[in-house]
Order: sequence, then C-alpha cells, then structure tokens
Amino acid sequence: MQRWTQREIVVVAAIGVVFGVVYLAWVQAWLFARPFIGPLSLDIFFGLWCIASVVAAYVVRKPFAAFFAEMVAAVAEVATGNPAGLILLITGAVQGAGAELPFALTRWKRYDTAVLVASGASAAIFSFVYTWIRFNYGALSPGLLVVMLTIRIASGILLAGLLGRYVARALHRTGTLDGLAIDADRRIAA
Amino acid sequence: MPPDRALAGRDLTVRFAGAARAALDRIDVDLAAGSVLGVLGPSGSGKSTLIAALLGVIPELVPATAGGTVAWGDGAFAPPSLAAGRAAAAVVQQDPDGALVALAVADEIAFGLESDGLPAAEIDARVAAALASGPAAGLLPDAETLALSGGWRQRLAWAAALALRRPVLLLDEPFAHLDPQAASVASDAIRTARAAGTATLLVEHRADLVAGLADQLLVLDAAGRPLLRGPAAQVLAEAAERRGACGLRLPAAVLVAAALRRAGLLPEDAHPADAAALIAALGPRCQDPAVAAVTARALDQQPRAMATPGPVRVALGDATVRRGGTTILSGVDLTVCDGTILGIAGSNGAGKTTLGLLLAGGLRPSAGQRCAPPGPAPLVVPQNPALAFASGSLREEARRRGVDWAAAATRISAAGLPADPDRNPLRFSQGERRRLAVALAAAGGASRLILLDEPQAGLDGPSLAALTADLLALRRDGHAVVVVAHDLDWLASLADDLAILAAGRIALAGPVAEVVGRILDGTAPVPVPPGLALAAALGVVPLKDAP
Amino acid sequence: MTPRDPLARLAVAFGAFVVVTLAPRPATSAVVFALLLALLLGPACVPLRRILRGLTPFAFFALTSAWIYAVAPDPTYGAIGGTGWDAALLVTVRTLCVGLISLGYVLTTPAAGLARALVHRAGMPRRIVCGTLAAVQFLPGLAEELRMARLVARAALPDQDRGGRIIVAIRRWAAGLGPTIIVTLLAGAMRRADTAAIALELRGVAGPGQPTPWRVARFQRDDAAFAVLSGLVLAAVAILTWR
Ligand SMILES: Nc1ncnc2c1ncn2[C@@H]1O[C@H](COP(=O)(O)OP(=O)(O)OP(=O)(O)O)[C@@H](O)[C@H]1O
Ligand SMILES: Nc1ncnc2c1ncn2[C@@H]1O[C@H](COP(=O)(O)OP(=O)(O)OP(=O)(O)O)[C@@H](O)[C@H]1O
Ligand SMILES: [Mg+2]
Ligand SMILES: [Mg+2]
Repeated sequence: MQRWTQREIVVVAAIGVVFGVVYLAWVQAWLFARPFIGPLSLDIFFGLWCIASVVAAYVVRKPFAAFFAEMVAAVAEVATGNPAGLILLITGAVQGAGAELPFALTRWKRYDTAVLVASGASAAIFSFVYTWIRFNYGALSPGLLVVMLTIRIASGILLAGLLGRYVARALHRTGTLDGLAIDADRRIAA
Repeated sequence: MPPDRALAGRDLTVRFAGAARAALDRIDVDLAAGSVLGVLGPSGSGKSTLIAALLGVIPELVPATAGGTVAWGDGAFAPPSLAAGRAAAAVVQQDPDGALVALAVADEIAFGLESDGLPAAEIDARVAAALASGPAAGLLPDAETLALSGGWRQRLAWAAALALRRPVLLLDEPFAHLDPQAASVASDAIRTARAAGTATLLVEHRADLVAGLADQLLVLDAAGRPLLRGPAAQVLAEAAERRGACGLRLPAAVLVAAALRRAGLLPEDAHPADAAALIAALGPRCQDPAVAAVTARALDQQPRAMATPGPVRVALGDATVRRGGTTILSGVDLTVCDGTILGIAGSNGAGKTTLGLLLAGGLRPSAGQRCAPPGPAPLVVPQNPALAFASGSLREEARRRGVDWAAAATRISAAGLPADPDRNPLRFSQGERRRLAVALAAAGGASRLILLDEPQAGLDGPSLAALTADLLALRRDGHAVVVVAHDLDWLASLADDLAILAAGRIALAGPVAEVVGRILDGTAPVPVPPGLALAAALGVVPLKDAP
Repeated sequence: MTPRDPLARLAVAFGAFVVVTLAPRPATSAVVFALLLALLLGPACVPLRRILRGLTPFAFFALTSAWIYAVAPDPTYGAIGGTGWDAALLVTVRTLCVGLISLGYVLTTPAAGLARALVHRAGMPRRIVCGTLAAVQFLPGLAEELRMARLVARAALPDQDRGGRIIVAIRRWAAGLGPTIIVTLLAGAMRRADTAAIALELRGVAGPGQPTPWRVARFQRDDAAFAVLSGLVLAAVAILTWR
C-alpha cells in the first residue's frame, strides 16, 4: 500500500475544506428550490454533496482518499455552521464510504471515467439506505421510492462523478497539481 | 579541519523539471559555527533554491533533479536529506503566509518544540521567552495567526525558528516585510544567536542590513553560479565598483563611498562599510558642497520636476475599518489624485495594507465614506504576489486582466522576464512574481488607481530601479499610484506625497519634502532611514523640488 | 467547574443531540435550547452577538422547513409524523436546538486543543490532524484570494459604461463570480497546500520519535462532574416532556 505523503494529506484536506464551503452554499440553494420542486428536491440536489470525494480520489489516487475528503468536508461544514449540525459527521462518513467502494474494488488502480461514475452512483446508494433508516422511508409508496432512488443515482453520476472529473482536470490545467498522481495523465497538460 | 564547521555544501546543483538551465550550478557553501554568511544575488539567482537544496526539500518535496553533497556539523558529506536537515537547522521561509501551521501564536511557536519531544515545562519556558523578547515580542499567546499582518507573520516565523535553538539558522529574506524597528530587533536576535555559537545563513536583498551582520558574503550571479566570495566589506566594495553592482541593492554608505572615490573626493583605499566609517573617513570635508552634490546624485535625492496633480481619483472622509471586532483604521482623511504617487509608510500592523485595500475599493469602510468618480476599477498588486495569480499560464493571466497578449508580453520582457505565454506563474521566484504582477498591472489601459503593496520587498538592485522607472512611467501616463512600503529611503525618492500611519491613524501626511523634513527632525513616528540620515549628515538639503 | 476536555464535551453534545432528535414533542427541544443558551451566556460567557450571528443559518433552515410542513407535508419525512402547524413547530424548535448544540461546541472549543486531544488521547496520526488543521487555516486566505480575483476581474471590465448605472453595478459586482470560481479557489488551496506541507515537514510533523503531549486537556474531575450533571438534566427533561 503506497504511503501517503504530507503534501497529499494537506491537498486532500484542502479539497475537503473548499468543498465544505461549496456544500454549505449548495444547501442554501437546495433550501430555496425545495418549496418549488417538492419532495424529490433532495435527490436531485444530492450529487454535488459527494463531489469532494471524487475530485480527491482522482487527484491523489491513494487508498481512502475519497473517504478522508468527505470527512474533512463534513467537519468543515459543521465548523462553518451547517444547519444539520453534528449529524453531518455520520452523513459524511456514509457518503465517503460509498464513494470509496468502487476505488477499493478496483484496488485503487483504475481512475477512468467508469470508476468515477460508479463512485458517484455508489455514494448515492449508500446515502439512500442511510436516509431510509433516518427518515423512515418505509412509510412511503414503493413507486415513489424507486423514482427517488433512480434520480439520486443519476444525480450522483452527473454532479459527483462527471462534474468531479471535469473540475479535477480543470484544476490540473492550472498547474498546481504537478508531482501528484493525476500528473500521470501527461496528455491533460498538453 | 576548519574551526568547528557548522555546515558545508559541495557542488550543489538543481535543475527544475522542464527548465532551460540549472537554477543552481555547482555551488560550494562553507559556514563556521558562530558566524553569519550573507548570500546575495539578483532575483531568480537561486538563493531560495540553495536553502531548499541544503535541507533536502529539493528533491524530496519539490520535483527537480538535484546533485551535490552536504555535511552538518562535523558529520560526513552525504546527499542532502530532509531528516538530517530538519534535525540540524531551523528555517524562516521567504513566504510568511505559507510558513505558519497553527491557528494561535503560542501553538505556532510550540509546534516544532513538540515535534522535538522536549519536556512540556521546557516548551512553556521557550514559548514565554519567545513572546517576552525577540522578533515576536508583544504578541499575545492566543492571538489568532490568521489576523496577523504580513510583517507580524514573518516575525512569528522568526520566533518559532529561534525557539528551536538549532546549531544552524537558515533565513530566506527575513527582513522583507519588517519595519525598521522590527528589523533592528531581528538583527539583534541574529547577533545574540551568533554570540551563542549558532551559524546563520542569511539570504537578503537589503545589503545595508547584511553589511552590518555578515562576516562572509557569497554573491550569486543571475545564472545561479558563484560570482564573489569573501569578507563582507571587501565583497561589497568590489560589487560597488562593478557596473550594475552585480544586481545588489548596496547600502547607502557603500554607494556614496564608491561615487566619492570615482570623483576623487575619497582616497582610493578607503572602503567604509557604514555611514559612521564614511563620515570618519571624510573628516572635515563633510560640509564640502562638492561632496553634497555627489551624494545627492548617488542617493537619487536630486530635485526633480513637480508632479502636476490631475483630478481626484479617490477620496476618503473620516473612514473607519473594523474587522473581526477590532478597529483597524479610524478617522482617515486622504485624497489621491491622478498623475501623482502617494507613499504610505508605517510600522508592522499599522494598517497600511488595510488602507491600501480601502483606497482600491477591496474593503468597504465600516464608517465614514469613500468617494471615487465613475471610471475603470482599481488595480491591485498584493503584498503576497502569489495572490495576484489564479491561472496556469501568463496568457491566461493577461486575458483575466482584459489585456491583449502582445501588450503584456512587451511589458513582461521589459521587466527582464521570459515572456513565454504558456509558462506557469508559479514557476517563478518570489521576486520575479512581484515584477510579473507589476508588469501586468502596468499593461492595463485606462487611467485608474494602481495600488502596490510592498512592491520593493524581495527585489534586487536592477529590479528596484526598473520598478521605479515603471512607477514614474505610470505617473506620467496619468495613473494614480499608491505605494505601500517600509523602505522610506526608496519611498522618499519616489513619492510626491507621503502618509505615515501609526496604530490605525494617519500620524503625518503631506508633500514629501515637508514630511521628510519632519522625519529628519525626529517628530515623525518612524525612525530616520539610513539613506536620508547620511544625506542630511553630508549637507544634502532634502528633496528641493525643481523651481 | 470548568469542563476542559474536548472529547468529553463532544460526547455530551452527541448525547444531547440524540435526545433532541428522538423527542416527539417540541417541548424537549425548547427546554434543552433554553438551558444551553443560559449555560453559554452565563458561565461560558459567549457573547450573545456571536450566538445570534451563528444561529442565522439554522434559523433560515428551520423557517423554510417549517413553511414546507405547514403548507405541503413532505411524505419523505415520515419520522416527523403529524401534519400542519405542530409538525412545523417541532421542526423549527428541533433545528434551532441542534444548531445551538453544534454552535455551542464550536464556539467553546479551540480547534488546536481539540486537535491535540485527538492526537494524544484518541491516537489519531499527527500528520493527518495537523494537515487538516493547516487546510482549515486556508479559508480566510482563500477569502482574501477571492477578493483579489474579483478586483482583477472588475479591473478587466471594458472601461466605457454601456447600459444604465444598475447594469454596470451588477456587472461589476458579478465580475469574477462565475462557475470558474471553484477552480480558482481550489488552485489557491493547492498552492497553499504545497507550502504548508513543506512547512509541516520542516517543523517535524512526521519527525522521528513521539511528539510531546503539551497542554493536552485530560479527563479530570470537572469533566466527569459536567458529564454526569448534563446526563441527569437530559434524562430529567426527556422524562418530563416525553409523554
Ligand atoms: N482579517 C483580519 N481580522 C482581524 N484583524 C486583522 C485582519 N487583518 C489584519 N488585521 C489587523 O489589522 C491590523 C493592520 O493589518 P495590516 O495588514 O493592514 O497591517 P500592515 O500595516 O499592512 O502591516 P505589515 O507592514 O506587516 O504588512 C493588524 O493589527 C492586524 O492584526
Ligand atoms: N518550482 C519551480 N519550478 C520551476 N522553476 C522554478 C521554481 N522555483 C524557482 N524556479 C526558477 O529557479 C530560479 C531560482 O529561483 P529562486 O526562487 O531560488 O530565486 P531567488 O534567488 O530566491 O529569487 P528571489 O530573490 O526573487 O526570491 C528562478 O529563475 C525561478 O524562475
Ligand atoms: Mg527567493
Ligand atoms: Mg501589509
């Protein structure tokens, strides 16, 4: 197992902190949209709350990068006054574990688009199970549940997997990631 | 075996990935215990790279190919390693923002001591000592490091390095952001460390500070190769003789002595290193008008054309700024006109950066008002040049500023920097980044307010002269230029109006001749700078503007 | 009695959190809110202004949630139960109480103290805790960077003022605030991460040997007393208001 360097630790923590603030802004956007979109708003907005893990894993490509980034994002959210409060630490852990699963299954070797998309989807599934328990989804009609799950997975794929990959490649073009694992895709820089 | 050698480097070479030439080319370094080695050289000559190479930061943490060996104390020569470097040396890094790792002052000083595993009582004692005397004296133990000003961050980094009490001290331009009073406290800290047997490697552009401290000097040329080496006074005198002074910012006394020698007013063999020695060497001829004329020309204090102030660009009325619950600026009345240069000076934490941001519209006053006529928005060259860049290439930086690449390229090459559109602004040294930020600001079009925060920090001789020419050109083009700086000598020779800040209030403001007069007769809250003091001692009437 | 151990207080905060989340009636949250507010304003002497400023996001969240429950009960939130105004009240009071617990903990716990407790007592690796602490320190610097980026973008706006004053003001305000703002902030964070990592390595964060446990808050008598007392109070409030 490759050992983390101090730079990689601070890079992933920094990604978590920056996205922690972005998550806070996205929560406000969700609150505005919720009265208009109604019950499915959480599932539609869900994806962006897992983008930190995809960006961190894609940049650093070391074991547990996704989980660590999501945990730091959750800590940053609590520190900057997110309305969900301390429970966010558990939410962050669940989403981080979900995002980490596809990378673990491929033994942290493959970071192509398929694995990143799988990471978004897996985070959505983990989150769905967690909110099922927390908000007693059992009381809902099965038809609604299926719709909610598919929307959440789609949101995870789009806003976490694909958008995360796009943000990471744009970040690489600024030249601040030289020497990290993402640098291996030399063609990005060209 | 040399007298207890503290540090020796042999054939240190560094080449950055994708760089045309080696940043450091076969450098030898010798540093004896209880001595100070000054390392000077133009911007981009590899001084910071030398410190990083000695410590093993290159290649372990920064991707580059490195060669050469280093020996700490009387250990054997071996390729540089971070573990050995960290155990033997304490470092003050060039970028004070990046060097702080803790959130409170006491935790910052204690961080290195905790890593060393010192007993807790010893840590408490050293932290208390560091806050009682030395560069960080006066800071509260649980003050937030994030709310410190640029200068105070550097003083805290100093205190943290000194508290480690390592046999070797590596300082990378430690005086860049310090005000004169803090600089003298820091110089005393170096002297006490030297007396205690610590070996200090001091990288600094302000040769007036290095001249008083260094026993030996090593001067690098622009290509990272050794140019001059030897005792301090002799090396400085030799540098003064050479054209362009090897890119160094020489002390006022050495400059004037060289000019007087050329004019035959000083014997050839007299090499005074500081003002007192020069005045002693001149003896009765101190009042000789010929000496005064030569001195005025050498120190750039000649009378110059009055600036014709244009319309008011920005005016502050009784402005007050509060941040984080503390009042930083109060009751500030100031106007800046187009086609003039306003200099803002004052001690660390006086509020200069805050006043600059207030003038440039980056900060809104908590009380009072800021009125500026409609027009193009102000341009800012921040105190930490890295803040000015946010993209991956110079072409993108020009696009962000709405400047076409051709205009930007001419300005960049005029500043002596490679105008390669795809080069990343991060791939430059600190001084080069500052010149880059100023060049991109100068490339901007319409008449507007341009704020430069400590632009002279970390610049070598030619770059400072180029910067002065740039600022005078901006003034001629009708821009309103605001320059925040600690170096009063340079500010007095450049600005049309001066404002001296003390504890968030304007203590003294007005035309430069009047303010300099008040400084020389000691009624201003800033110490008399060396250049002006020497000029006054040699009968130069300060800044008579052309009739 | 000054409870200094951050880990014990974290446990108490989580305990209060569980009680408030599971309580079916708003009275529990209201009582816990009042007690905690008194505790913060009194012995912990946290200024009221900072508490109010900290509570605004929670108040905003509570109001929008309450409005939804009052107008269109959201089937996905079955755990709330009930419909209409009493569900809205329950959500509001609970969110405010959760907010105050979180805020109370953040305002009374110095981050460095918590970090050292995590390293020396919870055994977390120092490289990770100090790396995260350094990363949290980037935020004010990034706010400064955002200010500079917006100044540069505003300066790049074409100089002649097309359109009315309001359009110019809006364009000037929005300059530099596009979606690329995330990449700009991330680039600044990455640059700071490099220098911070070098500074941490030079200061021996992964140094040989164990770091000294300096100023680490231990679990003392005061902490035990605080934990027991708050446990009793929570139990009493739960029992009295649960029925
Ligand atoms: N974000 C902030 N929050 C609270 N206080 C601050 C903040 N930024 C600066 N200050 C305080 O404002 C005062 C002035 O800061 P400023 O940076 O303007 O000083 P300065 O004159 O530029 O100092 P220097 O010469 O060291 O750069 C300082 O005491 C500093 O502690
Ligand atoms: N990370 C880097 N990657 C590529 N080139 C670099 C890097 N850092 C510095 N350089 C180049 O190496 C040379 C030496 O840089 P260095 O920072 O050592 O100069 P310096 O003497 O410290 O200059 P200054 O006095 O301005 O700080 C410069 O030409 C710079 O452009
Ligand atoms: Mg340097
Ligand atoms: Mg400043």
